[in-house]
Amino acid sequence: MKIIADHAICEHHGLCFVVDAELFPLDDEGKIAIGEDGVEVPEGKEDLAREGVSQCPVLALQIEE
Amino acid sequence: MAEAIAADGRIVIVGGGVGGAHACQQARRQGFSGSITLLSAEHEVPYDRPPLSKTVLAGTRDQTRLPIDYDALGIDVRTATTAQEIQTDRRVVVTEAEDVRYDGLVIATGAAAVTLPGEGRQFTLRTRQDALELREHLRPHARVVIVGASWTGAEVATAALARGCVVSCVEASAAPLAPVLGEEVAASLLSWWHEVDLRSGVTVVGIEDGLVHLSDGTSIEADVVVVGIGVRPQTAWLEGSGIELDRGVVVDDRLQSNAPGVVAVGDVAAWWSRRWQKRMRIAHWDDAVSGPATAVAALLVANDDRVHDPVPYFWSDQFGHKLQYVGHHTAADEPVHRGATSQKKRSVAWLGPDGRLSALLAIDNPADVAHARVAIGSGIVPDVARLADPSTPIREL
Repeated sequence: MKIIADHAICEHHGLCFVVDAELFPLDDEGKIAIGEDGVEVPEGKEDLAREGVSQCPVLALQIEE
Repeated sequence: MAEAIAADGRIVIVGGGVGGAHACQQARRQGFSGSITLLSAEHEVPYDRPPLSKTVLAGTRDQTRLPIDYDALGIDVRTATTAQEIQTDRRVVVTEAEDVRYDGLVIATGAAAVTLPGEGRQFTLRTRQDALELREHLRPHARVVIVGASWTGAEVATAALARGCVVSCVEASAAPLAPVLGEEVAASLLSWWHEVDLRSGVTVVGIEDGLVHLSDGTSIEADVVVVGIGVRPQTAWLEGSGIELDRGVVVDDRLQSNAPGVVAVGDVAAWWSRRWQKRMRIAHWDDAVSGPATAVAALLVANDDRVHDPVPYFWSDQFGHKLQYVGHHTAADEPVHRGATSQKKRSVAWLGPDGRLSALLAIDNPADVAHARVAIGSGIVPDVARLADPSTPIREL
């Protein structure tokens, strides 16, 4: 499972970060800091990944199964 | 209420807003395989509301669908279906067509816009239809009078100005948002309203077609009147049900009502906060999105230990600026400025009487938001000098 982030859509709400700061790191401006190719979700963190993705108010995050 | 719904039981969700939609998703995520029915009085499947006063009103989009596939989740979605009452003894929701039986019920009926007495037409902004209709009336040179310089009022003013309208706004308090942010902070944002004929400290005493009459004896000519003075939780259909109501459905820290198997989420829920030791009715997008995880767990798992106590968050896009507010403060809390009011990016933090960080307003300054939310949640007592220094990151307080 991977998390994909669209940097052009991110509006720096930071709700994902509050769900899990390791899965959803932010840069110094509060923008999602996941690279262009997305990031692999460590085993056992799948539920938190889904939770963080569905809390994004602007749908900037997606799960790739 | 320590019973759990059987795997082949029935969950009924009343209300097709963001809370109801997320409750559907949560129930499946938490492994519930029984039947799920969503009853929505609206004529379309749940959609997202924050964009209504922003991009939809501005005209850059029409649809705000949520990315939830109800067919794939096996949800029976019934639109244009109004729940008339709940009979808790029989565990049914009464609709015009039939009685819908439930083992677990999620109340997510949200809130409705408050309007003023008077004959003239008043626009409110609650549904997608409201937004599309209002947008049709925001034509160049249209005289738009907004009642209430609320968060929504400011967003409507922004859209109306962008569409070439002539905008006035009537605000009962001394300045927009003064009751929420305090007069000093509100005054520092006042210049954003320079293109609006803002009438502060007056109220509307009457609305007739073409005219809005004010308490100072003056009147404003209006082609369009938009009222944004607040919302009221939709609980009228629950009166007499035995479910405890007090400006919302009264629920505990797991979002359970006093009726077995009945929980509430979103704008309609008045939940008990452990953090603030009082009942909260937040009525923000974030509360409706985060609540269902706890509410559904309370239905599915006996004695689940999950509680709903998020640090509230909301945002507003107005006059080309982004306001983001986290936490919860009262008039007893002291504001601390992080950055001079002349600075483009700045924040205002509030400290409670006990010195704890209680809230933060970020003004075009999203860098502070997420870290403030975590800091407020952990109950930090920051050093005031460091807090007031914008070069000190919130996470290092």
